This record gives sequence, structure tokens and C-alpha cells, in this order.
Amino acid sequence: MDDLLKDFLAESAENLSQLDHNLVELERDPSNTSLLNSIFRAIHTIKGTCGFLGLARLENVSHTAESVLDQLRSGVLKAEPEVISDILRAVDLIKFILSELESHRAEPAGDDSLLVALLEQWLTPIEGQKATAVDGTTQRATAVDLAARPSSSQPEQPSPIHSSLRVNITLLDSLMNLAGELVLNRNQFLEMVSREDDSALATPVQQLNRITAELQSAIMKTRMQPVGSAWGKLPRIVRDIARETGKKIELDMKGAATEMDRQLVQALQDPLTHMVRNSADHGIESVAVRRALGKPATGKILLNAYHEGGHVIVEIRDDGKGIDVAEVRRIAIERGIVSRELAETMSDCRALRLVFEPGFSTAVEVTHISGRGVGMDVVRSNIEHVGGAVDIASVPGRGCTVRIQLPLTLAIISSLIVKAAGELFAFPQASVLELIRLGPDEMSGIDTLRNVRLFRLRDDLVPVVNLADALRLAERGADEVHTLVVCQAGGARFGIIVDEVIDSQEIVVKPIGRLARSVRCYAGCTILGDGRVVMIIDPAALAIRSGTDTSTLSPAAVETPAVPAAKPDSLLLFGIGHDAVQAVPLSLVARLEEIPADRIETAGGNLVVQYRGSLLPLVAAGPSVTFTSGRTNSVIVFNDGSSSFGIAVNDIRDIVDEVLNLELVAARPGILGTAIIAGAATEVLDVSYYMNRARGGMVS
Amino acid sequence: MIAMAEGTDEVVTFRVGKQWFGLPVIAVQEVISHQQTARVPLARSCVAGLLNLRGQVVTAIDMHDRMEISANASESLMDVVVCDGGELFALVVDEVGDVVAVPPHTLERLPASLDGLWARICTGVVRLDNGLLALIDVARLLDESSTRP
Repeated sequence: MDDLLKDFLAESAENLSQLDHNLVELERDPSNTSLLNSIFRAIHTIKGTCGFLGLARLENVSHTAESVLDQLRSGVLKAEPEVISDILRAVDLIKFILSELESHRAEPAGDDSLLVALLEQWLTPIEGQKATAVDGTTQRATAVDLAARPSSSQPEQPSPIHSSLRVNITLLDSLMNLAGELVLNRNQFLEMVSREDDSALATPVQQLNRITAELQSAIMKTRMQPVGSAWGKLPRIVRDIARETGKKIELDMKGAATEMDRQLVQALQDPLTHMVRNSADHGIESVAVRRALGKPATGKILLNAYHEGGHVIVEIRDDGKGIDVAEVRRIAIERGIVSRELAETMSDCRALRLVFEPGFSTAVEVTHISGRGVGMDVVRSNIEHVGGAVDIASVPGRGCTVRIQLPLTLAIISSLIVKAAGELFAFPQASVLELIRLGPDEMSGIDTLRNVRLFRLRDDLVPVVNLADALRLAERGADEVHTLVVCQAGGARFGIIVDEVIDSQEIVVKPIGRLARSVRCYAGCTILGDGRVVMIIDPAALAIRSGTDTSTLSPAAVETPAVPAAKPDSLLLFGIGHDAVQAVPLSLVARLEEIPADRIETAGGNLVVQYRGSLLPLVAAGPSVTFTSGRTNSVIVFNDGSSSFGIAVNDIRDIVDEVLNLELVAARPGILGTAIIAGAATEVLDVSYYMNRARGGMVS
Repeated sequence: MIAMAEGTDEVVTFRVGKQWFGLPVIAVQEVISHQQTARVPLARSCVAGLLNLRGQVVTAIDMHDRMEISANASESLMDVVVCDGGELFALVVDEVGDVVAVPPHTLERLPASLDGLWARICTGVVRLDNGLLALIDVARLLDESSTRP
């Protein structure tokens, strides 16, 4: 009996998980008979089995629901929202009874006559007339609904599973752990064999290697689940919110088949539900407001999941009112999350991320749907707990996008083992873009701007950090040759200098203990073939920690010292010969280049340089700029939409943050005026003047 | 019967500097000779590193640092492996002594003048023939909030 009950519960749970989704789908597409049939079958199966198991209460409810569904099937009733609502209520009750059954092995006591009566209304002939009476409105509503919806978004049909087996999850987890141990063991063997030239073990160990790899990937696949399984509840939630608030909301889900580790799907579920709720409740405006703004009456929430560079990306996008950054700033200051000075000087992007700070909630009015104290900080901590990252962007009036990035799996990754200051570290291969050998020449080519070191990687300047410095490891390798590990994290590239790259191997990610976890720059640790424990570097966190990250800066990592009242600008200081220094706002600068003076040519009386396969017009920043053969000049490249031009200077001096306060207005062309920068009176370059000169030069 | 079992604790004794400490025997998983550890740069100062115990990663705690007892370099170190919150820790100590029974009536209160850190970590003192034994609470010992950055 117990086994029968267990099977019944498991089977019902499967049926029900699809049911909410299908019912909401049916409401949108009442003519879909296959959908209706599958709903009917699910309820019918539950009814049939519980009669057999003697579960009277469950049988009663499911029987009544089945009868209503039968009316729908035969066309006596139309699938209008009111009927669907009542059936959903019955489904909720069925779920409740099932969960009670699971914990107490018996049906809970209770009276369902109200719900049964509600359902039976739809069965009586009089109510049949009522149904016909409201028929007209239903059809109209459906027509509107169909018109508002692009016809292309055809929901993916759930495919039936023909040959599958139900396996206990703890068994899968322990298989995964065992595979992890096997990988470590294999690594030990591989290392032993590699030490001997002519080992009899070589061939069997090779075999072991291959089989282990295959076994590991097969076990990994057993744990993979489509992201869509975390989405099952969402259509229902959105529908309920829409009904309750009188809004029109359409939930579009793409990439539901994208697979990821079961553990991650689970970790995603609550944050996702929370954010979709937020979008529906706070993001999407009411129909009247949307009309007044000239937006389509139906608000849209788009869920999109896809693979990108060893990660799974899940985006939640809505076309609602967006987030008011000023409001975010105000609340953050009010709740003591940031100081007023910091809040006012941080960029909008960064201010927006304050919503992820503990104790923050933007809902002005707390409705009973969302805003129940569980905030975005929980979302972020849940995501970060599994090694993911979350970011938010918003355009006021146009909507809001939350982007969640998750690793594919938590367990086994391919990695690069490097050495820095005599210690070994592992880098996740997925975030490594390339390796560059740094000889003494290349090392000296690393420029320092203020305290950021920049490496010229082909056409871009990439911030670099020395791993030993970033981790404050005392001794440095004395070697002349280093390796630059170019990493990608978030949207930005940056380099990490290490002493040497030792090896690349598959490693098992092990969590680090709680006392060591407070350091944010590790993704975990692993045990190498020789038994050594090695820390796994999280390049993105390291970048944030060392301040080289420019795109996805976590607000928690930002500590700006006392800031003056006005917003400071980053100013680029450069020398123009005779020890004179000028400044230009860094925000206008596209790139900095070092160009040998010999490559600067004259064409029609104007300076040009061959640059990226075309000619870049150059203008010297004043007559004192010297071009000495055999030396290089710095060129500040500006971009004006389609065309670029460069201002040639002698050298780049520094970047300073300073409030640009022009104290003396320029007496000569090419100069905006003079300001006190870094304690010295400095002329500020007028970029538009040079732009005109450079353009004029090209035309003539 | 049950009350007695609760009261009479057996404790594993170990020495850090000149001070002897005791841990409930039930909290101790094993005692091993000191293992080589991998450094965890930037971690809290009491984290001596991570070590590999038969395929499991164990956080090593420098008990000299944790208890703020100055270290003398010549000691032969031992690791007392304890489990707390499902996680393994190796307490790096100078010497491991006997397992002693501590009947409840021998357990004395902490002196009120004991400094804050020890008062937070220790639960009581026992007078032994060769000096005082300070009993340690594992959870409090490994509570991050009282560790130095």
C-alpha cells in the first residue's frame, strides 16, 4: 500500500507540474483540443488512482473538476477565465491534499463542498446558459488577446518521455561525488605514468583516462535538467497577478530546453519567481497608464535562457516602467546603505545595483503579491552562492532587464594551473581567453595610468594585475619571463600576470570552508594529482577586488574616499614638450596609442599615420610637440561617430579625477581654458577645435 | 543514567604554547601529525591554509593565532581534526595529550577577569595536576565573527 501511494504521489506530482502551465495556455488558446485533452487526462488519472487507493476527498474534487473539463471538451462550455480560475482552484486543492498525503500518509480532514458547488455551477443547465450569455464577451476578449500577441510565438510542445526511469536524487549526487574522486585518482595515475618513460601502465592508464572522462560526462548529463523546469510555476503566477491587479501581461519564455545542472536549476527557481513577480507586480503598468503612455496595453515579460561561453545566461526582461534611479538613490541613502556623497557621485549603472544590497526594497506600496521583505539581496546571494552573478539594467519608461549568469555545472571544470610567487593556483579555463608570453620588453611595455596598469593587447588597452600583488603574496618570482592570462569576466577583458603556466587539467571543484570563504576572489579549491590543495581563482571577483573591472562592478566592493560636492571628471594629462602639460576629459578619448615618430607621415601638408589599415589624420597638440626619429609619440585617438582622428602629444602623464573648473578662459584657439588640476594650473584642450582642423586637413 | 552521560564529558587535551586546552571527545574526529597546507592568500589570519585529508579539503586553523598565544617555532605540530556544521577543520596545536574524564563537579566557571576572546571561546576550566585546562566550545572557536581579519 505504501509503495502504491508513493508511486501515486510521484506520478501526480509530475502530472500537476505541467497542469498549471497547460491551463494558462488553454485560456489563451481555447481551441487547442490536444491541450485540453492532456489536462483532462492528468485529472482523470489522479481521479482514477485515488478511487483505487480509497482517497475519498481527493476523488470528490478531481471528479468534479474532471466533469467540468469534460464539458469543455464536448464544447458545451467555453474556456473562459472564470472557468479556468475555478479549475485552477481545484488544482490547488488537489496539490494541497497531495502534499498532506505525502507528509502524513493520510488525507487531511476538511470540507470541500464550497469548491465542489462552485465547480458544479458550470455543470447545471442554467449555468450552461450563463456560459452562453457571456460567450460574446469571451470571444471578444480572445480576439483582442490574439491581436495583441505576435502569432509567431508558438509554445513548445512538451514531448512525452518514452523510456525513462525514476532515480533517487541522492543516488545521482553520490555518483557525481564518486566520479569526482575517480577523476582525482586518474590524475594521480596520469602523473605517475608521465614520470616514467616506458611504463607498462601507460596503455591501461590511457584507457582509464578515456573511460573516466566518458563516465564523468555521462553522469554529468544525468544531472542536467532543462531550465524550463524552474519556469513551470511562472505562467500561473503571472496570470494570477494580472487577474488580481487588472493588468494585461504576457509572459514569453524562450530557451526553456537549455540544460544545466540540477542543483543550479533549483538555485534559480526562487530568484526567478521573485523577479518575475517583481516585474509583473511593480514593473508592468496598469492598462490605463500604458495606454496614456502610448504603449501597447499588454505588458510583456520575456524570459530568455541560452548558453554563452561556458555559462548559462537567464534574462528577465519587461517593458514596464523601469526603475527610477533617483528613487533608488534616495532609498539607499535613507536606509543607510550608502552615504549621500557616494550615492550622488556614483554612476547610474552602479546606483541601480544598489537594489541588490541587503535591506533594500523599491516597492513604495507593499502589496500582498510581492514586497514581502524578501528582496533582491536574497536573489543576489542565492545566485552568488552557486557561483553565478546577477546584474540589472533599466531604461526609465521602457523597462528593466535582469541578467543572471550561472556556471554550467558546479562539479568538474577544465582549468589552467599556474604558478605565482611559488604557489600554485587554478584558473577556470572557461574564463581564459588567451595566454601571452611576457618577456622583459613586453613587461616594460605595460603602462601605468595612476594606479591601473594597462597592457596593449593588439588594438585595445587591457587593465592588468599581478596575481602575486593582488593576493599580497610576499616573494615574487625572479624570472624575467612571465605569462599574461587574459580573462573575460562580465563584459570586460583584463589580464592577470603569473610567473608561469604549469599545466591544464580537469579538476573537481571543492567548496572552501567558511572561514576561508570570506575572501571573495576564489571560486573554490581542488586537489591535484600529487595531493596538493590548490585555490581556484575567480577572475571576475579578482578584477573587482583589484579595481580593474570596469563593467560589472559590484557596489559592495566600491569604497570611494571623501568626494567633493561636484562630480569629478577623469582627466587625461599629457606632455606637449618643454615640460608643458595639458589635460583632456578622459570620457572623450577613444583610445591611446604609442606610435613611432618615423611612422608619422606628411600628406598634403597634414600629418597622417597608417593605422588599422587606413589613414588616421593627426594634429599636433601645439607647436612645441616634438617628433624625434627613433622615439615614439603618444597619440590620443578621438572618435566622432564614423571617423577618427588623433592628437599627437609627446607623452601621456597621468589620469586624475578632478572637478573640472575652468578658471581662466582661453586666450588662444585649441584651448578651452585653464584649470587647477592636480595642484597645478593646466590648460584644457578644446577637442572640437582639433577635430575641425583634422577634418579640414582631410578634405583639402 | 542519561543525566550522568550528559555531565561526565571526556575531553581530548592539547597544548598551545604553555596552555592546555580540552575539547569534548565527541567533537574530535581524529588526530594526525601536521600536514602540509596550501596557503589561502588574503584569508583571515587564523586560517593556516587548506589540507587534503584523504580527498577531503580541511581548513587548518592556526591555534596560536586564534587564541592569541605567541608562537615558538621549534614545536612539533599536530592537527586535531574536528567537525563543525558539516565542515572539517584541523586545529594546528603544539602537542596532543591524554583523553581525560571531566566529571561535572570538577568543572569550574571561567574567571570573570578572563579576556574577551577567551571568555567567548571557552566554557569552563578544570584543575588538573599539572595546571589548568581550559575547555573549548568548537562552534564558538570556529565562529567567524570573533576571528581577526
